[in-house]
Amino acid sequence: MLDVCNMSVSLGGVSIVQNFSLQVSAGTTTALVGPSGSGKTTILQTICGVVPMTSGSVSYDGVDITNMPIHLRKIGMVFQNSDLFSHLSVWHNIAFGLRFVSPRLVPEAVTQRVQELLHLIGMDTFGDRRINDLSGGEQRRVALARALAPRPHLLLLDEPFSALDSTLRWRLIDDVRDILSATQTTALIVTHDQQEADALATHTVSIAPPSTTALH
Amino acid sequence: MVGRMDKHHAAMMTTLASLRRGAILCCALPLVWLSLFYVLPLGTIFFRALDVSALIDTIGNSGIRHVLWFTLWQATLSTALTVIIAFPITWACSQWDFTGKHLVVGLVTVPFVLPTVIIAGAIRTLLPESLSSGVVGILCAHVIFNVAVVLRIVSARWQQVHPNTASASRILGASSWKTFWLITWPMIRSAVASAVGIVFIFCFTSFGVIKVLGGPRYSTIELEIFIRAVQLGDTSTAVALVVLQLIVIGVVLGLTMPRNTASLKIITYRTSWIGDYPRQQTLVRASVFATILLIGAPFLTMFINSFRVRSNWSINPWRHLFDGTLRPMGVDVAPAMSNSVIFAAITIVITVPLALCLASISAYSSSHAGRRLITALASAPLATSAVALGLGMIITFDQSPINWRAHWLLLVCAHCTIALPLALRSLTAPLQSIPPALRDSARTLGASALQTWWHVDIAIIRRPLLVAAGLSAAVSLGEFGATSFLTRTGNDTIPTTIARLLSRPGDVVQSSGYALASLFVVLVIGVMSNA
Repeated sequence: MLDVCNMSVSLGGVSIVQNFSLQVSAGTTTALVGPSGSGKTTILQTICGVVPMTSGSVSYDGVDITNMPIHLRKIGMVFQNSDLFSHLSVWHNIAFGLRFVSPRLVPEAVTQRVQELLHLIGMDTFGDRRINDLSGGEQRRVALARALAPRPHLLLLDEPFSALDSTLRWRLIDDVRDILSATQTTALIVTHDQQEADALATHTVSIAPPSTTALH
Repeated sequence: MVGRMDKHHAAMMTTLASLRRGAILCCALPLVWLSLFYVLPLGTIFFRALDVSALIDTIGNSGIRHVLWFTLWQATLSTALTVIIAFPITWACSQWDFTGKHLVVGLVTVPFVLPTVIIAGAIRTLLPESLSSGVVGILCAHVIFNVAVVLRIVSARWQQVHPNTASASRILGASSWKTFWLITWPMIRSAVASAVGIVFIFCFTSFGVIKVLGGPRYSTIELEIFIRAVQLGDTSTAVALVVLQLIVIGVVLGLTMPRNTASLKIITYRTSWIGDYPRQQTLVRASVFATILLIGAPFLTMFINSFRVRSNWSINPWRHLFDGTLRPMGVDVAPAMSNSVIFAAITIVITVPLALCLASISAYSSSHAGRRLITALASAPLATSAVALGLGMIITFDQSPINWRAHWLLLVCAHCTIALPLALRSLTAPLQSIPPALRDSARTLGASALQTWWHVDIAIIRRPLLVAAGLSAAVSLGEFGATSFLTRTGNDTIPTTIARLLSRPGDVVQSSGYALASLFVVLVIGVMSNA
């Protein structure tokens, strides 16, 4: 279970998040809903360690990970945009995290895991494709598969369906819900769209600037 | 409604078409300039070097082979050291925002626009005689001069890598080093290769540094060309050396120029404020401190030495600059200063319009290949030795009706040709980044193509125009290689005067050289900061 306790974050002297607390139970999908500028993305980036916390703590399954290096937290994240490695193929993007989380994984196991995820996202034949040759929706799917590949304890998704057209967005929402359910992944999703949150999440948390929480 | 849309579309198409027509028209001027003052002089050198026997004799000469070997290994070592030393400050400036960042970048850039003789002189005041006059001094001077090249080229690329890319790698389990090696490095290595190529060429064609610090033992091809052509009158060997040098430069450029840079978007991402990241703060501070120490220390010791005569404090070196004491030695500071300022002003007047013409072609032309060809041609002087250009000009413009070799205007022409690539680089990107919609809006509001160009394009690139003017002035003020060839009595510039003072024996004269160099550093900083 993820436990965020009194998280405060200041960037460039500006307070972005103040005393934010949240609990996410194992196996559930929680949506963090709020308007632009309410600090949603900063909260995700702080949980995974990309942005340092001014005060407060983050723990997972009772282990304090507040000061743990980013690469040891075993948290997956799908960024809003621009996080795929454009110099690597789809296959190598998905396989990237496997070498670090499971260094002794034999090449056959890596291949099997990548194929499994390509199948899961419905892109079995896309392994050799270049990232820049993919559509926006395909890139979102690859980002999701890459984040899921190392089997993270917790998956963070930052506005994963923004910049997609309406039809594609709803199809992808269905797919992601099925994938999260099939993999039993604990997930925290950030969105500004209440409908999107209702369609995906088992729990919803609303935030408004400054971050005061209200549980629905 | 449809009619209005058609009119709007037609206006948009004519804006671009009119600008393209204008760009093609103004293409002629810089092309004529480059043909006359770059292609023709170097073509003449090649034409003369068709004498293969002179080329073979030159390569067969053991003394020349020794010079070639030294030139190659010192350039290789200087390049390696420069990249290693410049990397921490490049990382700090491209990834983080901190107080005084612009000042640090400006400080690192100052040596690049200074005459190399000044950097060499400053190194001489910092290091003991046994170290400064030799390989150590040469390497130090090359590193100080070229740190800015690595910083500017690599950080421009590094800032285009989205911060989320590295974060994604870290979240997926890669350590900082693995992230750098597997993710960041593949994205910036083409920029590093470009920087390596340019730094190598600058070190390979080093002239002023070797002239001051090389002593009798160390000579590069560039210096050898000067000695052969000016002091020994052996033009055929000098020309053969220029050809050899151009071949090496061509090979290096071919190996290091980027082939495919399409994988990154031309967007510069905002850097993070270092105060929010305590773990990285120490590294950034150390990088900045070490770089300021490296760049600042030689100039500080040079300034201090300008007040020292035989271990005593004195203001005589400064007084002698203007009281006529140095005149019997052929050194007259006031005319040299006025020459430098006049040449710099003329260089601005000629170079900036030429660069604007070329940048406009680059921004408006629809032909990708033509655009690349023109940009490559205009950038070529950056990779060509100034001494070779000076020699080419002397042997080209030495007969009627173009017997200009003794005229000061030829000196200014050389300055303009050398400054053109830098002025062009400062204008091209800003012009290219203007959204076409702005021009279309101006046209639909009733502005003509010329009015659109003036009120939109020129208004937006006003600051880059100032930067282009500042760089042109700085290149002209600091140019030493070609100037050494083309200067005549009465045409002395500050760099040639400093070189003359530093090459004379006597403590007071040397200190006067340091005083004039210090004055010049202040002048260049003033020009650059105003730009």
